[in-house]
Amino acid sequence: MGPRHPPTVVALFVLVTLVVTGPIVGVDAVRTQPTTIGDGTASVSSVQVPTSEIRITDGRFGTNVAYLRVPDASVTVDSVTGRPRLLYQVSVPALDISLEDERVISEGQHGTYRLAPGDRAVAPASLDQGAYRGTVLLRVQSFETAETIVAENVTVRVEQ
Amino acid sequence: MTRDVEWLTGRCRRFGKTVFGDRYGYALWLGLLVTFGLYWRIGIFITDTYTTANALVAVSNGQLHITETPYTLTLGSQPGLHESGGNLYGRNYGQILLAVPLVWVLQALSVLITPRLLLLGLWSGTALLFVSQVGELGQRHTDTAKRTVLGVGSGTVAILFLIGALTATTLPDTGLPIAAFQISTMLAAATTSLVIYRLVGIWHDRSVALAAGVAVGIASSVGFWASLPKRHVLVGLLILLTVYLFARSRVAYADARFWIGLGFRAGAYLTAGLVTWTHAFEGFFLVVTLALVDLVTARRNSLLHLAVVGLGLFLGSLPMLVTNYLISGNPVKPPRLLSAVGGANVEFTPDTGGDAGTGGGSGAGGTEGTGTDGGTGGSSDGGTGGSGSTGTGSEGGNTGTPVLTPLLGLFERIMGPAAPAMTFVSDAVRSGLSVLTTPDRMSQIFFRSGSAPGINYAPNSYEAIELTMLESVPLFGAIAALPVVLVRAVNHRIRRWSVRPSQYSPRTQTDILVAALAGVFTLIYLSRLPLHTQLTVRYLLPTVPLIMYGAVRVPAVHETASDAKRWLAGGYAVSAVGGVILGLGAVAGLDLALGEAVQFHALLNLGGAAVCAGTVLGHTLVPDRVPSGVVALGLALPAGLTTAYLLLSGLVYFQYGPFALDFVRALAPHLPAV
Repeated sequence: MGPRHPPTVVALFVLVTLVVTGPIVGVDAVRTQPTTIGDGTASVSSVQVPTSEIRITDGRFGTNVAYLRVPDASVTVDSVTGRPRLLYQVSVPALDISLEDERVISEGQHGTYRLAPGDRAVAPASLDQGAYRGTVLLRVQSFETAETIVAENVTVRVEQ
Repeated sequence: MTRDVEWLTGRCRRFGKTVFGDRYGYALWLGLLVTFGLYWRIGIFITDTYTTANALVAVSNGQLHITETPYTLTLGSQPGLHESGGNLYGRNYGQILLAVPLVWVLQALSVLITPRLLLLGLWSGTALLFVSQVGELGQRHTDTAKRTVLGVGSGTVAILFLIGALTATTLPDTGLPIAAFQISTMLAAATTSLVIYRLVGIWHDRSVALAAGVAVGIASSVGFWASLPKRHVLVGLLILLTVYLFARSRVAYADARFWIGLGFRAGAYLTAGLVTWTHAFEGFFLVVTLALVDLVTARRNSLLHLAVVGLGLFLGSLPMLVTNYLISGNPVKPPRLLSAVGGANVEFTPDTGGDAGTGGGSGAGGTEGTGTDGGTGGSSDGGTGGSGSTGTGSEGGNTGTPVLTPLLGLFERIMGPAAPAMTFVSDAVRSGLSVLTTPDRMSQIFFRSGSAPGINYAPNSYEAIELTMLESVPLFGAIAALPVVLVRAVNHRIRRWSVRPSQYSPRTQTDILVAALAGVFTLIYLSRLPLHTQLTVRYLLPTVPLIMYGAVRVPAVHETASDAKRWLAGGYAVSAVGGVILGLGAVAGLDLALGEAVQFHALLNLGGAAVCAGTVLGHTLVPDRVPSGVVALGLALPAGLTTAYLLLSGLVYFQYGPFALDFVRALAPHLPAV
């Protein structure tokens, strides 16, 4: 168990890092990123939302319930200032369903983001029409701004 | 100085040996904690936890009643909240008090270390301990040099630590108490595995014991609940610990070491009594079942032995009695019997979920441990939540000397009417028995869930996420061989019918206790099942380690784990990795929704269970036709598939909070989402 015992060496390294970056010593080597929305904005260069794929189909593997299927959105962000969020929202008011996914991005984190609200089971009793009206929204939001990138009305078909 | 260090090292070594048995047990325990950390999310998964988490914060601030609610917006709407003397209380105080020291430790360390990095540091430290143990053990069994294992392992931990530190996100201060709560459950889950390792290790060789430990930890639903701070894992641990101490007492009695045997025997009752602190209802059934089996099988039932056993039970129940006294003024009235507040009607506990009689009796149950069933029984006929009897309780405690009066009251109440408590017990058992005769319902609890007609899926947003016992622990397919084994055992026993139960071998006596406990803890919950928000039939979770013990006791299983360990380990690794790839592939390729993904695993697991049942039963009936290598694969397949489900349920399917470890959070967006 001498000083050359690798786990001991790593343990010492971990301990020193934790204490040195901690509240008392406060070396700014490791900065924990906030995950909540702040000020700022992001410029979005391209968006892919396959809205035609939004539909209602039967569940598989014995789930015995219909699902509102919402495809993932892909958002390419060129530049970010502050800490805004990307919000992707699909709602079908007649079924009382609103699905959303958000991503808070920070300064410097440009790139392509996938937003996946997932699928939502539909209350079996409420499904009585062949198609429903839905809305798709994609926005950049912060405490300063709210910019709508996509706002679209869609028809959601029930395929059974 | 050197002598002091040596003395201290010696003490640590002896303590380690007492708790962990050997280095393998320690490595198992550490490895499980490291694994649980990987899919640990900080947050609240089931609404019942809001109350217990708020109560935990209150207790860590030095009071039993809840005034602040860091985990809910408003006070009074959480399920499981109870009222006494104008104050609001939580429940499961035994479980909460276990987590309180952890809250303090985390809060103290957070003065020095940023909270998020603190969790990362704790995980890294555990992982490094694990690596050094594995390095030591690897040298014994393989040609790999210890240095290589240590180097590679430590390097991996260092890299993960660096990634975690560099991508660290902020953890709010309110995150620490709930994190501590989750750590307490993870410790309980890992310790459950350790106890089954030690229990099985009494009868079988080490590889069988290790396999049983790993199976309970990450190839059963115990791993699913490891980082979800519900009571079930803790109760399961205490039940198993009771069995372990019982087994040790039988071994000692058989060796004519009566004092040691008596010590373990009293320890078993003490542990059983402790369950009442968390859930009086379950504690009652544990104590009664233990007492029945223990009295019949003990080699000594002299007055002295019984007195010591009674003392053990009293000591185990004492924390519950004191807590109850502090809360309601009545030591025999647990929080669950106090009038419920707000959303208590959505609480899925035995006392408020169903008929009124059950509600009252559950409190009675817990206190029967101390011989006061009559008294609480009397106060329990007030119905659900026992609201009708609040007055009686406070009167008893508020007069006279604080300690003596309630104690005297206890004795008086022993003579009180025991009828309501007995009615409750017989009701729970009778309604459980009636479920046994309804095959559809049994199938929805034990075999195939799908979309079970008996479950209200609305609270789950209509997602079919409720697995059955066999779907959540497909290794239980091995139980298919149990009837054959039992018939053989009974045949064997009939030929030696003159042997009294007290002269049975310690192993048989322990088997009887495990069978009785598994039966009782299944039966009493049957009438409430199937139910939503169970996920893996969590009400039956305490039986999972017991049934796993039963599976291991099947000769085909323990002989395989002993003879074909390489097949078992290799098959398990392949099956786990394959299960993860298959699950991720299905989610991405078939665009599965949550319920579909869970049911996909359910079907996979049922397939694994069928293979398991077939090979184990085959080997039991025709050992020559089914070699042990095949049985090993038949066991490894469902075990690996379960591990895959545990990992994916934490990493992909159920999202209720941020990952505790940021290197996992950084990985998660690259996985397909449901």
